[in-house]
Amino acid sequence: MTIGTFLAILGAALAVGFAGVGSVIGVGKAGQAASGVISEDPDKFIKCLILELLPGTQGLYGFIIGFLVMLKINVFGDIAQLSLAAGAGMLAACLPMAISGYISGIHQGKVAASGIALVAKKPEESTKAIVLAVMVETYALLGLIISFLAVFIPDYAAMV
Amino acid sequence: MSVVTMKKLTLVAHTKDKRKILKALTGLGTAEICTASSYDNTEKREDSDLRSEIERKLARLTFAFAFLKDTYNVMQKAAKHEEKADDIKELKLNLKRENKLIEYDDMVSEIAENEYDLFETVSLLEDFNSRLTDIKTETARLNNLYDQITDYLSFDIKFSDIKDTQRIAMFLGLIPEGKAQTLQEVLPPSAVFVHHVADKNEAVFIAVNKEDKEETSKLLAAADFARCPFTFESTAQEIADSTQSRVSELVAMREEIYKQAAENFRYDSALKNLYDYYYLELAKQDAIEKTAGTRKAFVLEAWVIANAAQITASKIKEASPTAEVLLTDPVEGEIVPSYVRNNKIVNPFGHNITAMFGAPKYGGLDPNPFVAFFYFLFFGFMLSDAGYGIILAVGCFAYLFIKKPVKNSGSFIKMLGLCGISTVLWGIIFGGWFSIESQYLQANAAGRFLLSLRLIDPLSGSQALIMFGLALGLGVIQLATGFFLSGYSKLKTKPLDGIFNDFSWVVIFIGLGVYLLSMVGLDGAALPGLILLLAGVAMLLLGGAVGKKNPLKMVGGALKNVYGTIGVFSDVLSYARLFGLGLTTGVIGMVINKIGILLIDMIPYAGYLAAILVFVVGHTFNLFINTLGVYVHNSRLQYVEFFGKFYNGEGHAFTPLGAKTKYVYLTDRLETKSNPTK
Repeated sequence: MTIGTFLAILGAALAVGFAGVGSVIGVGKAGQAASGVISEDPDKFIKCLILELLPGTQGLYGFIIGFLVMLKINVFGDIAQLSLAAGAGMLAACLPMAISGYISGIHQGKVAASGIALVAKKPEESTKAIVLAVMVETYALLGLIISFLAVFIPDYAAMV
Repeated sequence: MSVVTMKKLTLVAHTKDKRKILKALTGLGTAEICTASSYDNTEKREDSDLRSEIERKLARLTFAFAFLKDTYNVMQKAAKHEEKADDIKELKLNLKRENKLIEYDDMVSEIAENEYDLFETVSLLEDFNSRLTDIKTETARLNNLYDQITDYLSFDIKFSDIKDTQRIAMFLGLIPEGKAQTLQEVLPPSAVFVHHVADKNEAVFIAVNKEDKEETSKLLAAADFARCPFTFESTAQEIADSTQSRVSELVAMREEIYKQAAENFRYDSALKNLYDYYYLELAKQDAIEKTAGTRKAFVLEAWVIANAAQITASKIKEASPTAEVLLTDPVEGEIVPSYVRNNKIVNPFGHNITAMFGAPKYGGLDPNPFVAFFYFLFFGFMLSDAGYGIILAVGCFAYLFIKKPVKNSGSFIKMLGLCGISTVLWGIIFGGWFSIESQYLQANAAGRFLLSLRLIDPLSGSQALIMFGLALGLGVIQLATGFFLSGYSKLKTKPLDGIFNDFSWVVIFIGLGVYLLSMVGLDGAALPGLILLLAGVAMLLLGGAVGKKNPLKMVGGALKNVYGTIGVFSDVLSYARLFGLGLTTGVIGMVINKIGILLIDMIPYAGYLAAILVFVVGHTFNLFINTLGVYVHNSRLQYVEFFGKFYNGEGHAFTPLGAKTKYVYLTDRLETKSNPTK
């Protein structure tokens, strides 16, 4: 395996790992808040669950980027031998997702947790809590799109 | 398709007819009572006694529901524990909202018939509850006693026998574990020392000559001795036995009470009816407090939708022939509630998307048809898999067909079903069929046919960019619509503002579109496109100056509009989420398929089973998580990007008397077509 290929895999690892950790923290925070509300009123489970799930998407986005990198360098078959520059490029392409996923996951978790508090008091307003939490996710989505385009469009294997 | 015209209904009637009229209005469900104007010699009165009486009844019913639910859980647990499947089946308690539509009159006559019996049932449940509380306290006390008494189990002697005799002093009690040895060593020689290890402590019995009593006391105190508090005339064993038998008796009593309580499950639907009856009584009470009255007569003012105004008036006349009813048009300055009427396709979107944001103002623009169109359009783009679309559409419409939800209770499902259709259409365009990769689709005729329908392949380099561009393009169309609607609604009041600040953007977007046509081969389009674009920009610059007299402020306004383009630019980019979420579904689906195929390759035969499991669970998860994501992101696009341009949802939604219930649905005459007097 070339250093370039290693760097590409490192990029995939960072995207999956960091975005995943962001989601873990976010979902964890929201989950704690949700348990508190559910202990008072178990009927609010579904509403709380939806809010708890929202910060979980960052992990999925990171996973998508990681998977695309693996697809691109053909990990599942005859693995591509990337040049150093190409590998470094792929690593760089993964960073938007890794960074935006990590930080937005944490903050979306905070908004979701307070959204769950909103659901505890006014369950009929749960949609508004969801919309507020989704505002944070926009930036993870932007990270996803840039990482996707940067991973997917250039022909790294042909780079010298 | 619009915000419906309202009439103001003013009625004057005898006070004795007040209840009858309110009953009629509740049954109709067409009138929202508003606070009556203050006429001379009238006053608004609150009947706090009646209100608290109603609230008390509601609280008792709420308790009854909670108690029945507890009982249900306890019984179910017990039945599961004893593995009596039949018993579980027999337990039936439905405290959910019922999917039935009833006439208010039927509800009232039913309540009149069985209200007394139902409240008897509630008192019975209250009695059960207090007995259960007693049992709980007693059980806790006995368990506590049992815990303490077990320390002395090894002493086969009545507690009452342990008392000083003429010559001997006796001590019974507990000392901390491990101190017995040291204590025994220092005790006076006359002492008899017996000790047994109990739970965490050691139980000790000491008998000494009377003259050594004080010294022993001191030694014991030093060893943290706790004297036994019991003076029962029986041994520890006897007490423990009797405690345990009483506890098991209590357990049996508890079971019996729950069993008896469970027999009241059959009243669930009657109790729910009763709850809603009083819930409506409370609403009526609110309405009464808004009326103004003298001793003999009262004035009630309400908003009714125009096409139900006549039937409402005639029903009031029926209830109270002497009442005077006056129907007038709203006067400027009054806050008129808005009721939105749309066709069957638009309605689900209005109920679930627009209503969540806020109702339109009375006399204002109804955004629902546009929201419905764009929500439908974007949903499929983001979910982007025809297979998922089919599941969603078939599932939702099957649910609607089987369950037939009354009133608007099924509108969310209906919306999802419609969005499923949109997903199928976009799925065909993107070639998404459960994310199966094209190489597998190529293998058979059906797959080749599906592939031939594909217009854009999101996972092939340059075409991904086309999809990206398409997402932004759709966004531009929605934004242009938003600006157009904003300008249109300003035409009457501030035409210049509308034309230069809003229509200018429409012109810019159209110019941009025409110009882009030149890039895909339509050479002649470049120039007119550019001209339109520039014209739009010029309008926008002028727009900043509209309505300002000071030339400096005019320049400032123009600059502000230039700065505003940044906001519009970021709005357009926000539609990139259409592209992002569209990819998400496809790629996660692909991963699921890859894992499945890997399993088939790795494990012979059994691999197929494992793969099927992976496919079913994986795609279900993917469908769920993406539908959720699409739902929220689509809503956001409507709320922030689209509504931000022209709609603020500051209206007051029409909530007629009788519309709010918790457990049943009341029929209403809102959509009555017949208009007897016209």
